[in-house]
This record gives sequence, structure tokens and C-alpha cells, in this order.
Amino acid sequence: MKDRQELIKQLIKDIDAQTTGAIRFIAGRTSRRSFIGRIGVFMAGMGALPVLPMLRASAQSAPAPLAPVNGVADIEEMGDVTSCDYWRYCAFSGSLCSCCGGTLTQCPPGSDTATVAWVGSCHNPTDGRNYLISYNDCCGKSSCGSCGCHRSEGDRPVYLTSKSNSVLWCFGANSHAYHCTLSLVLGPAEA
Amino acid sequence: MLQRTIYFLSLVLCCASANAQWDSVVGSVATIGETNEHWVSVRGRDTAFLIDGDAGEVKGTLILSRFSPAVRPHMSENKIYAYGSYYSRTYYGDREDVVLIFDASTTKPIGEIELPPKSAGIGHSGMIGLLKDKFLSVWNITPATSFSVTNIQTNEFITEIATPGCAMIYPIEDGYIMPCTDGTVQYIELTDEGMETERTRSDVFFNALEDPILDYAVQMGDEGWMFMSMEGLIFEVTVENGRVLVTEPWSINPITNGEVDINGVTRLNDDDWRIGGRQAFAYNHATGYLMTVMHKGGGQETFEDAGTEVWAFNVKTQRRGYRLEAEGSDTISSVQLTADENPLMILAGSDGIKIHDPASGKKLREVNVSGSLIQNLYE
Repeated sequence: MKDRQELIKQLIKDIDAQTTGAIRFIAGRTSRRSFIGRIGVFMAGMGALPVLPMLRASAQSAPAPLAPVNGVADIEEMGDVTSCDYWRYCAFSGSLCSCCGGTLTQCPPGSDTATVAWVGSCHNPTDGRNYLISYNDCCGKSSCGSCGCHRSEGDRPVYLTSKSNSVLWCFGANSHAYHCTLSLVLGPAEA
Repeated sequence: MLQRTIYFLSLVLCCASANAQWDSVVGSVATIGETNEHWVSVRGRDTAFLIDGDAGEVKGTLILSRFSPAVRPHMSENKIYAYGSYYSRTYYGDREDVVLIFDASTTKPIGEIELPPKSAGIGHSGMIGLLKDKFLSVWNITPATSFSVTNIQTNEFITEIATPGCAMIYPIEDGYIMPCTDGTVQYIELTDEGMETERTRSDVFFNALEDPILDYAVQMGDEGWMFMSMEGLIFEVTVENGRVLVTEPWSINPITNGEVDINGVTRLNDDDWRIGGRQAFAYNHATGYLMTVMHKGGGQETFEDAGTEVWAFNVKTQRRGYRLEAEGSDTISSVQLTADENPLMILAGSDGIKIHDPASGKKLREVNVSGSLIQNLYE
């Protein structure tokens, strides 16, 4: 208990020293009028702080900042693409094309790619960003049936069509016989 | 020698006599026989099983397409309708969409009505609707949404009606109602020729992003349709003089958690349960019984997940009567109540079809078929 109190005292002392130093720094580089003016702006701005989103875990060491993502090639992603837990499958429902002779972005040989798809927003834990994911069905063959996944985050009833996976999304393909589903990254979800 | 001859002749005569009692080599063909309100259709992969709920037996099947989500019985005419898509090479080739017409006694297909190749390949009973014993409509998605209207008296396709932002077709009065993205239910009225004459919408009563209603609805006799939200709110929708009316909702979520009963026993906390499944609820208008398929935990994204319990409510009191647990490790994906005054409850799940008494929850029979959507032959 004693150690804890001493730690708190030291913390307050450090804050005082930091604050005093900061004020001295500002005062030494501004006129009194501009100083008061900037303080006024600062105080007024403080009122907006409670409504701004804040990262409460800021006391922890922040992860290394990531470079801007300009395309799929820039995305840092990890995980087993044949597992339903893979980050791109958060709103997935169907068979993974990765298990049917295709990949995340390629339909298996002999199937057709649908040109219209339903979309989801998924969080990539490796880079901490959210992305829009397009789930395009591959069609024109019998159902692959392997690696069935049904996470369906954000899934909505059929009248909200673009957010529903209870539809055969084979639109634009030569047949609406469902085979499997791709998971394509369209871009950052925050953009 | 004489004895041997007599013995041989006796043997031949004996066998010939027995032979006369054997079944015909080619067999014969059964018919469905008499049906009643305890008969249901259960959809398998490309088959509809016709089940006698009192006997607990499959009495026949209908051959559907791989893209036939539901049937529409019309027993007063001894017919069962469905629709489907067919490719010239099973999964590819030229596509043909048709309404299928079956003789309910023989289960044989007896006719077809050609449709635009737009019908939804999967779904539930909301994809096909019979109106005024004359118009059979089929819901389309391309992904633009619409429905095709056919005349079953002339077996002709009439028209296609666009329904942007709305889905399903539930027949009522002189048209169909359907839930829409803007939080309303739309009513489209048809003329006696099957053409659109008017469309109106209800007031906004739900938020499609925060707590959407399911696109599956159940019939309340001839009065209207019951919708359920993902959070368990029940809305009753009717049409009066062309206006769509929606009742104030009530909730299936328990309101007694933490309460102490008359004996001082604290009520079980069961807040963490959600409605879900392919056919998540059923209603019987004659008794007021309402059954919901429930699973523990999860968010709204689990609205299609199979359940481990069925909760039994009475709409007259808006309270739950009992909870029915699935047997062992079974899960339940669909529930249906027959429409008569002494209904049966039919459950479809991981272990086939089970038939219960809805008043007590007691299991009566099992049927060893695998299927999902359960539909009554008689509404």
C-alpha cells in the first residue's frame, strides 16, 4: 500500500513538473495577449473533448504505426484461409472457395463468377483496420459443399438485399446454381 | 414309381397354389388417400415430403427443382403448386422457370405455367402466394426485386410487378403485403385481371438496421400476418380499406427475471436467449398458440441459427407457457403449427421431423426424413 501511495505522489510530482515546464515553454515563445488568446481557444476546445472518440488504452504502448494501405497488396493479414475464423469471413455464409479448388479471390476451375455480390465490414486484427469485403458467389456447378461457414455478422433480412446472404448471389453468372463464395477486399471501411 | 409320381404332382400343385397368393411381379401404385388438416409438406433438397401428422408417416412426395423453396397447396381444388428453375444441363445451359402444378391425390405433375427466368432460388413460404384462388405469384430477385403474377384458372403468366426495396409476397384482401427497407410494410392491390391498381405503405414501425423484422411472416387466419423482429417484438399487420395497419408490438422476451414467486423462489434468469432458425416461429389462430425457436447467446447475426429450445406462448395472454428442450444434442431449425382447433406442432431439426402436442409439449411421433421448411396443406 505504501509503495502504491509513493508511486501516486511521484506521478503527481512528475505531472506538475511537466505542466510547469510546458507553460514555461509556451510563455517564453508567445506574447501575453496571444498566450491568453490561445489559452481561451484551448479552454473552449476542451468542451468538445468528451464527445470525441478516445482510445482508453492509450496508457499502453501503442502498436507501431502502419503505412497507408493503397491496395490489397499492402494489407498485412494472417490466418488460415480454410478456417471459418479467418478475418475476411466475418459476414460469410456458404462454402469457402479455398476448399474447392479456388482461392480467396479466384473461383474454382469451370465455375462462373457472379458480378454482383453482398458486402460486409470486417476487422483485420493484424493491422487493426476495418475493410469492406465483397462476397462474390461462384456458380454454374453443383454445390461444392466443403468448408461450410456461417458467421453472418451484419446479415439482414432479404428486403435489405445488399446486406443479406439468404439469396443466391449468382447474378451476372451464366447459371444461378451455387458452387462456393469468394471474399474480396474492396477497400477500407472507414473511408 | 407311382408313389414318386403322386408326390411330384402334389408338390407342383402345392407350389402353384402358393404362387397364386404372391404379389404381382410389377406391383401397383398407391395414391395419397384422404387428407386432413394434420397433413404437412416438408421440403427436402429437391423433394417435398407429404406427411400425415396423425400417422407420423410420409404418404407421398412431390418432385421439385433444385430451386424450389416452397410449395403452395390448394386443396379445395386438389392441387399443390410450386415453382422451380431448370437448366438444360442440370446446373448450366438454358434456363427455364415455371410454376409447377401437381395433382394432390397422385402427386403427379399435371401442368406448368412459364415464368420470366427471375424467380428466387432459395427462401421460404413468402416466395409464393395464392390470392383469391385465382392468382399465384412468385417472388423474383435479379437482384432487382419484383413478383410475377399468374392466373391459375387460365394457366397464364399475366405480368411482373416491381417492388424496389421490398421483399416477399404475403396475400391479403385484394393484394400482397411485403416488408420494406424503410421500416414499413407495403400493400400492392391487384385488379380482377391481376394488374396492379394501387400501392400503399404503413407508417414506419421498425428500423431495418437496428431491429429489423424477419422477412418470414405467419398467417393469422384470414385477418392478417404476424411479423417478428430480431429482438423478439411481435407486430400484427392487417389491411383495411386499402390501408396497412400495424399493432403496437409486444415482446417474447421474459419480463419475470429476478422476480420472486409466491413461494419465495427466484425466477430463472433467461434473458440471454434469442429467436432464430430457418422457420423461427409458428402461430395457430384458433388457439392463440405461438411457438418460437430459441438459442442461447449471440447477437442479431444469429437470427438464422438453429435453436436448442422451443418456447410456447399464448397470444391471448402474451405470456410464455412452457419451454421445450430439444432432445440430447439435437437442434431445431423450423417449427410449424397446423391450422385447426386441435393443432399439432411439427419440428424439423438435426434429427428429422418430430411431432408434438403443442398444448403440453409432449412428443407424439417421429418421422425419419430430413427437411427444413414445413407448410400446412390446409390453411
